[in-house]
Amino acid sequence: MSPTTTTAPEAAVPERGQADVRTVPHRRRRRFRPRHPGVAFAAWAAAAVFFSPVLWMFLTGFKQESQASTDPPTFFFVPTLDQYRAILGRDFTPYFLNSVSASVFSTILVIILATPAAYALSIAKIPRWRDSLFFFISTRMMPAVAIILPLYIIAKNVGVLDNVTMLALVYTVMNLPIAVWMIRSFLVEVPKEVLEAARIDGATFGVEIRRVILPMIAPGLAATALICFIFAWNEFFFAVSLTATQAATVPVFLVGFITSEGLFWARLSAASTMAALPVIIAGWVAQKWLVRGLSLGAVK
Amino acid sequence: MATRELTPAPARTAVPPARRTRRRGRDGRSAALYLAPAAVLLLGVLAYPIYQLVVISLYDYGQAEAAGNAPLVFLGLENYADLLRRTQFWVVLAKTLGFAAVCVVGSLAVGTALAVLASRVRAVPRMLLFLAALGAWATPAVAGSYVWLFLFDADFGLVNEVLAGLGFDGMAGHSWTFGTYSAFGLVAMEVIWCSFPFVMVTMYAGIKGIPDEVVEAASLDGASWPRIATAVILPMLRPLLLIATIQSIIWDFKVFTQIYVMTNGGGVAGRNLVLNVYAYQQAFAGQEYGQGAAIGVVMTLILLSVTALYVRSQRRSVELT
Repeated sequence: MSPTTTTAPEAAVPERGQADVRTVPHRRRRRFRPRHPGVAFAAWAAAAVFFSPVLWMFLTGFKQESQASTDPPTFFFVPTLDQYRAILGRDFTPYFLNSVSASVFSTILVIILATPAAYALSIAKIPRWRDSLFFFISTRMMPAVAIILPLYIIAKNVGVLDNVTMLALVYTVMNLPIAVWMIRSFLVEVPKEVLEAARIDGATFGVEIRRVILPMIAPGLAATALICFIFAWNEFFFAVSLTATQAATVPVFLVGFITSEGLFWARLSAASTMAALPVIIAGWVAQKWLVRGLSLGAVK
Repeated sequence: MATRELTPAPARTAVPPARRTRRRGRDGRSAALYLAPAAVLLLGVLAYPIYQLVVISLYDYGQAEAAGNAPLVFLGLENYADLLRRTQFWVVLAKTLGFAAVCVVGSLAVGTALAVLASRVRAVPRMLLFLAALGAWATPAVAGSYVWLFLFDADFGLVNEVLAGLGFDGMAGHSWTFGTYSAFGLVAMEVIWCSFPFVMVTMYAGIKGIPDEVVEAASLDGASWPRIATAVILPMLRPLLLIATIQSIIWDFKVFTQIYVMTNGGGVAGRNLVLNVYAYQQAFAGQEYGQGAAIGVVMTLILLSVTALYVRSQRRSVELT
């Protein structure tokens, strides 16, 4: 009796589940039902709580400054685009373009560099690949604060201070370890049999990479690229330390707002929304890739 | 540390023959070449600054020395000795460890809990959960910090208003940033909010990747849910937990932006300093670059050893294929 009580919810499923497994050998058919209405309620509540900061930021961006700082907070108001106009009037575009070029360029570079490196650490295992992997991940230990001074001096001497390319290079280095680690986890999942079959069929190395491996890890590459893009987009410390007027990015723009004009919540919220929006859209569009890509390298 | 793998020569001899047959001849040699560009860039942009950092930490290096107006005085390990003698360093170190531990445990717990939740509900609430995660992830740390300050503002904040509305009258006008622990707690909540999405997405993918048959088989064998969770699901998720934990440790130990923005550079009299901000203050505000560099080196060593320990302990139980 005791085992049946605990397995009762599952016992009901097999009729359907088994039929599915036999006809369609596909995992997607699984249905997790909330076994308790509390689970669904908890999910709604958690989503509301964790989304509220973003929502509040979004709403505040459409308020007048006088409505943003009131006690009690204003919930009902006539939305205005004044804050957005003010931001666009303050030369937001160059910052935005700097952010785009630094993030995109570094992301492309990261993927180009990390994919072969991950290949060397997974499929074509070099000797001492564990040490190499640890070396890659260990470079993430270095606190940015610690290397900023030497980096600043070097950049100054080479003459690449306040330069988008320089910033993109720094972001590439910053994201490389994560990318190698992630892409490696996808490559590990490529079945040995598939590779052997391709080789037996006489696939050259180039064909093997292009026709066999790349299609299999494409979702993983997309997920990795997205994550690297977000990290580069949101990076603040290097941007504020290594750039001034020419190459400053959106997070630097945000801080500029705060220091020069005091705390204007409504305008700051509007600017923050504009900074976060491209990433939210990119993430939403690529959501399936992201989850699929991550799951590919996730569990064996 | 490990630069030897860049030299491909001893590669072939080290490989056991059984493996070599599986691999094509040229792979062993060229594999190191695939690694080379990434490793060279990483070393190039990091090695010299790290070298510089260590060098600076051995000198009495202030504003005058940096500008070249004063001769460099070699101190040896004096900067480190001085640092270790300071009470403030140990206090900041303890606070950093405590703060990071709370953040790591918090984001792992929150992220995993939400992943489990997301895997067990219908499409709409699941989509909302992911939207919340995406929003938290996409918001730049600077913006996120200000939004949280705004939400928890003593007078204009939404949180105090809601709490007061729920009957906690004392919360109206309550200042969250006043007390040391309250301020740390607020920053920790923001940090957890920033970092839970990575854990959640990763763990959700892991949970989804577990084949039904495995869980079904376990439950047919009469395993209870807690037993399935601990004996079946958890071991399968362990490689992912490893990645999520290491990432969280690295992030949370190095929190800078949130502390800097939310406690206004470390709080009154440095009550809310963490090592990263402390190093920044020493180096830039105090213009004691040598001291700041020493803190940076110490921080790096701590992080390296923590991660090495963790990786080693995990290696025993999980084969990192």
